[in-house]
Amino acid sequence: MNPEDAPAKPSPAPGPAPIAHVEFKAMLLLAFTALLVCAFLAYVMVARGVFERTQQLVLVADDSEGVQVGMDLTFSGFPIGRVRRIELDELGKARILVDVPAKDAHWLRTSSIFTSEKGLVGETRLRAFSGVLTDPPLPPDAVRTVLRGDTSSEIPRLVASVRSLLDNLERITSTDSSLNASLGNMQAITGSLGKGMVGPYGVMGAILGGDANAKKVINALDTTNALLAKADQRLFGDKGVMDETQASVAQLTALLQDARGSLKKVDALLAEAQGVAVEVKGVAVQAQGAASEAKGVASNLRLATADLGLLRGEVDASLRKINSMVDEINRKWPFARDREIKLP
Amino acid sequence: MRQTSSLRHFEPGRLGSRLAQWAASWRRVFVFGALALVMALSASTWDRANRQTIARQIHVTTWQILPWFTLMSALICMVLIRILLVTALSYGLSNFALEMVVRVLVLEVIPLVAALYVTLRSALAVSPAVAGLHIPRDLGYLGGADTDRIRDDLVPRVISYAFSVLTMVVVSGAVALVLSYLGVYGFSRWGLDYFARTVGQVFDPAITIGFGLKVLFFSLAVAVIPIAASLDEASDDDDDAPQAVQPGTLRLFLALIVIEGLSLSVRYI
Repeated sequence: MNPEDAPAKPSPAPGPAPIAHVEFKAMLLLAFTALLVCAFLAYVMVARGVFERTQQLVLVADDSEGVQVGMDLTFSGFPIGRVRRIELDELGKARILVDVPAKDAHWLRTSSIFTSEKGLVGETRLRAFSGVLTDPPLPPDAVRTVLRGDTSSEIPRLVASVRSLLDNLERITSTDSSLNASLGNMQAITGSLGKGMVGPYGVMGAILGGDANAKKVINALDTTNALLAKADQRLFGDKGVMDETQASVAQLTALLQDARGSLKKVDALLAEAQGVAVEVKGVAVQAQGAASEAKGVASNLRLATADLGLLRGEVDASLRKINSMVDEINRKWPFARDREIKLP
Repeated sequence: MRQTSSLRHFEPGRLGSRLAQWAASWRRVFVFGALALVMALSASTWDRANRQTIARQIHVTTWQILPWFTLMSALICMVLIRILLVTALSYGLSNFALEMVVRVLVLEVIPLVAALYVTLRSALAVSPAVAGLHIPRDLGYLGGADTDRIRDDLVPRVISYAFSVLTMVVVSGAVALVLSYLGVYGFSRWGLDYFARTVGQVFDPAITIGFGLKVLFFSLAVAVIPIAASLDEASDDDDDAPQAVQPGTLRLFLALIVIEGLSLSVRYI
C-alpha cells in the first residue's frame, strides 16, 4: 500500500477544557448509582420478606381462581402472610402455600377460619378469622380448608331466581291466566255497569241483575214509605195515638187529683177517729159512771166505721180506674212493642 | 420531473436495494454494539487515558444534566401521582392507588423518559464527532488504528450514554418512590410497612428482572444506535441528500418502542 494512498490523518483537534476532579466526580456518580441500585434491591427483598423467618400454612380450596402468587393473607385488614406457591394435590384440589412471618403467626389459632372472597370488582382476597385468641397457636405446615365467598358465583343463582320470577310473571300475565280471566270478568262487569248507567234504574239494575229486580226493590221501598207515612199519621197525626195518649194522661191526672182528695178525706176521718178514740178512752174511764152514754158513744163509733168502709170503697174504685187507664195507655203506646220493619 | 422521480422510488429493484440497505444498517448497529460491548469489557479499554475520557464523558452526559433531569422528573411525577391518586380515589379504588402509581411511574414512564432525554440531550449530538474519525463502513475488517479510534473515542461515549440512562432511571425512580409515599401518606411514618409491602408486591422477581432488562436495553439502544448511524452517515459518500433529522433518530425511536412493547407484552399479556 502506497503511503500516499492512505487517508490523511486528521489534524488533532484542540483538547477539551480540563474539568476539575473529573475522575472523582465520575467515581462518585458510579458509586452513588451502584449504591442506589443495591439499596433498591435490598429494599425490595426486605419488602418481599426474603429475610424474614416464616412458617408455612397450606390452604386447600376447590378452586384457586383469582388467587395469585405474592398476594396477601389478611387478618383484620392487616397483611400477615403472602402466597408463595399454588399447586394441585392428588385429589385435584388447589393447595395454596402461604408464608406467614413468625412475628405475625400468633394471630392464627387452631380454630382460625380462612376465606377466599371474590367481589365483582377487585382481586380475590384471602382472609383469616380467629374468633378465640386463647386457643393454641396454629402449628407450622398446618392444612386448612378455605371457605369461598364468590360474589360472581352467586350471579348464576341470582339469574336462575330472576328467570323463575319472570316465568311466574309471564304465567300470571299470559292470555289464559287466572289474573287475565279475572281482569276480563272485571271488564265485563264494568262494561255492564257502563251499559246499566244508561238504563231506567241505573247502576242498581246492573247490580241486581236486571230492571225487573230493581223495580221490585223500588216498589218495596215505596210500600215501606207508605207504611211509614201511615204509621206517622196514626202516631203523630190528628187524633192519633199521641193525642189519645195525651188525653189519657190528662184524664189520669184528673183521676189522681180525685184520689188525692179522697185520701185527704180519709186522713180527716182518721184524725176524727183518733179524736173519737181519745174521747172513748176518756169515756171509758168514766164508763162505770156513764153506762148510758156508752151505748150512744158505741153507736157513734159504729157510724164512723161505716163511713170509713164507704171511703175505702171509693179509693179502691179510683185505683181500679187508674189501673185500667194505665193498661189502655200501654196497649195504645206503639213504641213499647216490637215494631220491626224488614225490607225484602 | 418530480413525477418521474417519485415513480422511480416505487421501482421494485430500488425498493429491494433500500430494504437491503436497511437490513445492512441494522446489521452494522448490532455489529457495532457487540464490538463496543466487547471493548467495554476488555481491560485494555480501561487504561488511564481512557478512564480520563470516560470520566469526562460521564461528567458531560450525566453529572451536568442529572440535577435538572431529576427536578423535571420530580415535577412530572408529582403531577402524575396527583392525577392517579385523585382518579383512584374518585372510583373508590384507593387500595390500588399506590400500586398503580408505582407501576405507572417507576416501571413505565421514568425509564422511557430518561432514555428519550439522554437521546435528545447527548446521543443525537454525536454525529459531528463521529464524522471526523473516518471509521470504515465494514466493521468486520478494521485495522489497528480504526480499533484504537473506536476504543478511544467511541466506546467512552457508549459507556457514558448507557451509564447516563441507568443513573437517571435509578435516581428518578427513587425520587418517584419517595414522592409516591408522600403523595399517599404525607409525612407520616405509619404507612412505611404497607408501602414496603406494596413495593414488594409490585417488584416480584419476574417484574424486577424484566425491569432491569428493559433499562439495560434502553441504555444500549441509546448508546449504540446513534453512534452506529453516525458511522453509516459519515462513510456514505454516495448519498448527499440532506437529512431531515439526525441520523439514527428514527431507528432509535423504533428500537425504544419495540423494547417497551415487548416489555409490556411479556409483563401483562
